[in-house]
Amino acid sequence: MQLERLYDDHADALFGFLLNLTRSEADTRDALQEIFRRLALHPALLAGVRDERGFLLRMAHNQAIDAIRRRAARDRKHESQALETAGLFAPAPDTDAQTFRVALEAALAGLPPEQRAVVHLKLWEGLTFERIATALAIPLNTAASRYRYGLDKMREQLRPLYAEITP
Amino acid sequence: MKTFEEKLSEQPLRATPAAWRAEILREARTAAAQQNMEPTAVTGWRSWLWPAPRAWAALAACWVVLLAVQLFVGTPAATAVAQVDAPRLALALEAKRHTLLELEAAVVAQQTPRAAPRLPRGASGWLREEKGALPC
Repeated sequence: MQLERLYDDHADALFGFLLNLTRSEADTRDALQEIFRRLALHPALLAGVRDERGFLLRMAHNQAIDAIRRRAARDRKHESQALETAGLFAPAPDTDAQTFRVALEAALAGLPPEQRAVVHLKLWEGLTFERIATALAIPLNTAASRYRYGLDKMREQLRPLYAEITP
Repeated sequence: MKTFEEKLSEQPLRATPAAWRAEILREARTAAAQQNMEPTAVTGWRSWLWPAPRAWAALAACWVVLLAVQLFVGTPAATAVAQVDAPRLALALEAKRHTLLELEAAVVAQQTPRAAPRLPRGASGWLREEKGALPC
């Protein structure tokens, strides 16, 4: 079936993107559920779409932004700003690699969501700036500059660790 | 030597929890099935109202307020005025109708040609004079 194929082809990518943006497994689950609910309700959504992954990443981005706004309102209400550890990366086989992954996740968490989205799509989805701009509905130059700013911040934050583990 | 970007991008992301697949697909299918079971009329109304539900709600509220005003303020007074004026109005109409009839009768009477005055039967001498005056 079409829905199963879509899930098998794209769910992992959407999961990683949503988890990186929302920093919450519960919000990621809700957003992923909503995306597939819409696809089931409106099968024609993907009719004529050439870049299926890009289209779904855009839906995921919209869902993530909604989730972030809802959580911000909730956090203001409850005056709690606790940031849960999302567990974005797979467990590493050795301690050094695991330390780096934890630090990388923290560095990503320190980026504004709009920079984090671009960095994620560039580094872990391998999208061009053009496809990123289309997926996030932003100008091409904006996508490129957000990536540069985000990467500079992460480089600064991870420099000691990176220098240490890089041969 | 790997660049910083390569080092980052080679860090593998966690996979989607395996249990989610069945749950998410089942819930999506349930939602689609429920939508298909809804009566067409309900779906049509929903799709029509959905783009601006607040605007439609506000319009409906205005109509309710206007209806309430009409029922509790406007209608009794208007009805009372109508009830008071009805007999007077009927009398005035009747008087007008009567006047119109009289006028019509007068006009008809004026337009009808008057018949020639009849000569008295006993005026034979006058008749003879008249006949003698006529050309033969």
